[in-house]
Amino acid sequence: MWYKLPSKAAFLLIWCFATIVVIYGPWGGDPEPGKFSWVAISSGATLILTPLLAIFLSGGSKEKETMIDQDKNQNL
Amino acid sequence: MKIFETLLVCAFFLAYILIGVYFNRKALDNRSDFYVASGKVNLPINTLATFAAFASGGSFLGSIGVAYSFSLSYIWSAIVGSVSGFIIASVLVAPYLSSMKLNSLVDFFKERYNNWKVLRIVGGAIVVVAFTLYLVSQYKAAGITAEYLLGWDYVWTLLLVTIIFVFYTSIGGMWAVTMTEAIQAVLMFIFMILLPIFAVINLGGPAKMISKAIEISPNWSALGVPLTTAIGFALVWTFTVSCFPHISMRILASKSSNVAQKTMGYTGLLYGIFCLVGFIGVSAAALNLFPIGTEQALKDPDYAYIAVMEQYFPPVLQGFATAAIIAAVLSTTSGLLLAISVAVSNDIWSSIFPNTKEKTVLRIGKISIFVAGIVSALFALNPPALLVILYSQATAMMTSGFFGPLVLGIWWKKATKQGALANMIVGSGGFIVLYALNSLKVIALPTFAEFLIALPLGLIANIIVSNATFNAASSESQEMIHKMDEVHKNAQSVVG
Repeated sequence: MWYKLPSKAAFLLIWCFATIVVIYGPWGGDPEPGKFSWVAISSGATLILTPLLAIFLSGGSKEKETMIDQDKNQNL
Repeated sequence: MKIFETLLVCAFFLAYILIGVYFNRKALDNRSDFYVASGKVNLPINTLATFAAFASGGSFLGSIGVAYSFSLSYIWSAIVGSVSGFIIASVLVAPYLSSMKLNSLVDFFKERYNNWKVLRIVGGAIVVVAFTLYLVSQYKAAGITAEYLLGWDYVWTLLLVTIIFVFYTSIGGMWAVTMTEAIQAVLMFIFMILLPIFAVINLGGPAKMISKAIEISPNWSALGVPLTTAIGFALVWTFTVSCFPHISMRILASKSSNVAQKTMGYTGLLYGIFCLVGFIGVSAAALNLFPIGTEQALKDPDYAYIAVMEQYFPPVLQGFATAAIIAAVLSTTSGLLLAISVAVSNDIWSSIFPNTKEKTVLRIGKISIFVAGIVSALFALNPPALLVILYSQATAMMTSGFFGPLVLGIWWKKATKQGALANMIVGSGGFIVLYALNSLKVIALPTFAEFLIALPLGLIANIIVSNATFNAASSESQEMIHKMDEVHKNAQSVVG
């Protein structure tokens, strides 16, 4: 009774929650004086890596999209 | 009053009005034109507009202030959550909502849950309450910022902002909101990135600037709060992005399902770069220039961006940066006005009076923009104490009630209208009860714990009630499953 999540979407979903666990896991700890902490490095990297990954995986089909849009416009 | 900055900000205000007037000429005869630009907005413009709608004045003021005075990593936990929220919206919600061609988030509840009036009215009412509080906070921020940066009077600023935003939103609808937000986004992004570049050049390079910042404030890069608080802060935003009605309207305004999905991904990237570069660069520069714990420390950390800007930007750039801060404060305002308008006219009014003519509904929507603008401005004249907390909690209350009906409605065939209502009552209602008990000190919950309890409680209520009320053999269920099958088929064939 559930719709199947596409594999890329499932991967991104797992990635998003896993990064929160990895960043804020108990191994974070306090930084050494004068150095960036693990929390700061990993969260900063995530701000860029997560959306890049999503953009990379979210390629769509222009041809099918146009066909569907045309169908929808006809149905309106 | 600062003349150059004032003229520049007024020039931008004039541009917003002209955009409203221009887009009034576009056919604004029906709700789809007015509320979601008939789903014709392309990827670059939609990305910029979504970014501006999401990044409020808090990005320039409050967040950098927290990074400077307390901890960069703590404020980043909300940003990590927000970026993840955009990605979750892009895979779980955006392509499916977009392919349904709706006018609002609550319209989804109408389509998915058999046009049940109760659900539309409850959903619309939650949006109106939560977003009116949100709007009050935006007005208050605009008044304070203009007072500080431009030397304007607080009350006159409220009046001016109300007139301008109500005017162009009510005459230009989603097209005007989209184009003004796109301009505001460009301004905000450029001036958030430019200031760290100036600071790095003046402070001897990034490594030197950052090591000195950590030396001055060792807590800067550490978390500084319990892990549960950081995770709670991140998760609130992870779930909220999908449920924000003004972000949903951007999804619905997208040209196609693919554009809707990509808009969320690109907005996440834009917002990630904005907060990564801006928050590190400006808060580190502020720590170098105004070390915490010394006489030079800033009395009000919220003005860290402005203090650094005044040090490094030449006067002309200071004028544009001021316009960028005002734009950031106001960029969410028009989106919020439109979201309240659609909740009143499309969701509440049309449910109670289903036979109302299209033009009358549209007129009611425009009147409600005016009323929401005036009411919020009146509240902002004498704003309630702890407003930021109040509107953050109102947003969390909305998410606790909306996330389940939205996501389960898309992905679970057995989700029923009774389950959705139970989710809204238990999720949003449970949040209000927990918040009240915590405020009255009857219970002691850490920050964000109310949300972390209310959200799953709402989801559990939805699953239990839907399981109890779902009847696979009924024609209503069959029709709904067929409709959602089509939605998934269309969306997934495009986005893969």
